[in-house]
Amino acid sequence: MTDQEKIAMLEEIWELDEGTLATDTVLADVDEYDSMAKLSLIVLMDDEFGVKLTGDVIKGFKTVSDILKLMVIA
Amino acid sequence: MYSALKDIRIIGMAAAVSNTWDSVRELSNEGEQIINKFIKTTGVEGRYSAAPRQCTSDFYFSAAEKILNEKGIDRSEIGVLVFVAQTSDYGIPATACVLQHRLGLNKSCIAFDVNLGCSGFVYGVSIAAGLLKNSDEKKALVLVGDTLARTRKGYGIGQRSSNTTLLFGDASSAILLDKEKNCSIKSAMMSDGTGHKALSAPYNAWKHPVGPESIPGDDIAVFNFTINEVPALVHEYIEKLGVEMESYDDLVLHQANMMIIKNIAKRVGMPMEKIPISLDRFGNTSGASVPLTIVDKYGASNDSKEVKMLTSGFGVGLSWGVMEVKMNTDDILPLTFGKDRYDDDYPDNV
Repeated sequence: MTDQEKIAMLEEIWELDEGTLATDTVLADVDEYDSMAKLSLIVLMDDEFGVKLTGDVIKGFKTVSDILKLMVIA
Repeated sequence: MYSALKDIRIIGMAAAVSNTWDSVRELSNEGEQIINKFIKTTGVEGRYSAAPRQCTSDFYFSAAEKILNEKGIDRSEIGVLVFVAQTSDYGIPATACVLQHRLGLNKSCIAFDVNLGCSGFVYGVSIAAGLLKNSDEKKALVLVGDTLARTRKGYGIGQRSSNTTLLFGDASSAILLDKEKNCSIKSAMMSDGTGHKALSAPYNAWKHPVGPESIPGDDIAVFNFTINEVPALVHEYIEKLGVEMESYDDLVLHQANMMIIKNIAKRVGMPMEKIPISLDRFGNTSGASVPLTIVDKYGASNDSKEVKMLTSGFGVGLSWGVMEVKMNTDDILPLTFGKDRYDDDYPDNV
């Protein structure tokens, strides 16, 4: 799966326009990245990649690329 | 814990709310965009809230009176009264004792409180069924609910507008248990105290006598708990019973929020058509939400039939449970709009 495909998945769950996110986008600058967006991310990561995200891991996400690194199909 | 109590049956269920219903849009001070997102993600469009001085016990009284009167129950037959809530009326005594008095129950009836929230229905019914089973008493009354839409100090405009208070609705439920051959109450219950800080109100009690009424919860920990632990216990429970999920008419889940409900439904393999929803109109009603949702679906129905439901409550503790409920819809009473208020003669602001 390419980074672009992974970014498209994030844009879809967060209801963002296509092309809004890039690998170096700082999450703190994305208005839609709120508490509910984090819950949507938990579901996506678990359902699609089998990754269980904890609060500490989510706190460590600074940019989109930090998330992409965990979007790996086992 | 797995519990199977033979020859006990739920013979009545009632629920009560106030006469005051407000839409989230009217209550909120937030802009339209934020409110639209709140409604979309939580599923809550409005909820009932207690009137000033209307307490959890008053809703319980309304629901209990409804069930005792409509079922024509001899009150001397009630031997167990279990009150499950986080919003008890007093520091002491147990609110169950006050209700025992108000409902005119016998002295031989044991009455006590259980401090639990959203898992309260499964826990309360299981506790009462266990006590009933091992006693010479005939019936047990379980009261489950809370008034989380209000704060202790009331309903200031600022207090009403936070997303937390908008999510919650005030409601109570009453469940009547009887001894009946060839029936049983089977439940699975779990607790995980390592999560005790995830949902907590540590102030204004004995350890920290002064402080805010509530503190922010750990949303991510709670969400992870609900979408992992609850489906796991549901799967384990039905496997132990040797039944298929499709055999249930409904899966009645605690009405936490729509995102949690949809995710649990997906993970246990139950279509949303078989998941009754009450939180759109009632909000998250804590422990009352499972019986309230059943009352909302079947209480006004004239269609007399047996329904087989799987129920699950989960939340503060952390604590969660699963229980099968088989009832005749005739025993599920229409929703009550309670006006009762108990005057205890204590002066305020002493």
